[in-house]
Amino acid sequence: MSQLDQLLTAQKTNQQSIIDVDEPVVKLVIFRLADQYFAFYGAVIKEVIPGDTKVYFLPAMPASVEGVMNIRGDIESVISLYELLQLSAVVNRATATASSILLGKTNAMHSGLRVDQLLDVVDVPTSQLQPPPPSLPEYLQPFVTSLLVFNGLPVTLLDLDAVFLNWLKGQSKAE
Amino acid sequence: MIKQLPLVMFHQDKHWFALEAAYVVGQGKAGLLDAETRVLDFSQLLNLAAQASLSSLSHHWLRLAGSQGRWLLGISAAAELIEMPVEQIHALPPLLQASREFKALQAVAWYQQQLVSLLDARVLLNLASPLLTLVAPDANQVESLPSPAN
Repeated sequence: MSQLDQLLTAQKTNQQSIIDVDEPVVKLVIFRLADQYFAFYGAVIKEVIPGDTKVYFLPAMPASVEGVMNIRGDIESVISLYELLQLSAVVNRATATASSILLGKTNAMHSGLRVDQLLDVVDVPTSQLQPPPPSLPEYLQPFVTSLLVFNGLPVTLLDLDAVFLNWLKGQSKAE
Repeated sequence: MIKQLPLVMFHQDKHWFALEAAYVVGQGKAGLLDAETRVLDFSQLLNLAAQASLSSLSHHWLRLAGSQGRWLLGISAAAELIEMPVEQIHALPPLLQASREFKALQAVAWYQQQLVSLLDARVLLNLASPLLTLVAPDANQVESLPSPAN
């Protein structure tokens, strides 16, 4: 192969790489809860609030409601997903230094969601999203849309609309 | 245009609560009651102190419009009348509106950097009805007829 051939081949490979980069991507907000990793679509997470933002306890609310916070004069709820995701609390979530509050908003609902650690906000090729396996635990099936591997970590992609809906269902059952 | 809302605010179990002043027709001390008047402790309604004695927690009371003198809302300390700027009053976030366990909770407000839970007195009246059959007048509290403040 001549040097010109090699050059042209290399250019073709580079072009192929560029095409690969243009592969459809989706923005994900990846976070940790307990020792597991989850993600929401970036489109439904409007803001990340520092975890040490004061959250005011509101009496007579379900245990999964941490309280409300003041966001530039507006009131926003802060909830925990531990119960919904059947996670065991291993630390004081409200005071964990790495914690954050994701402001989630869908057409039907909005709330702050306490997470133990925000890992990253990244664009991920849609080809990396794998459908959930049939063996996925039944309680997760209503709101898990995909699985992916991020930096070697298994991440479960959640549908925020379904999360809100099932969180509310869970509170109704608890009454 | 309403700029301020008169509220009767009280402190109970480490939290601030308030009722629209239009629905509160009097307040007084729990020791000054006639034998027929029943005091329903607010904590009982809130279900924060279900195991506590109903009357022992109530040092003061509020008389709500619509209670027809049948009962008083027992609270732990004297209430105060405030004027709440309307811009400090917020509807409950939708998730809390849908999941609240205390249906009288109607809104929240910021007052002197404290969170205040705003209650619907009409719902309180409804919540009280089934509990009133369980609350007998407390003979230890009977002294004389109340003289509503304000």
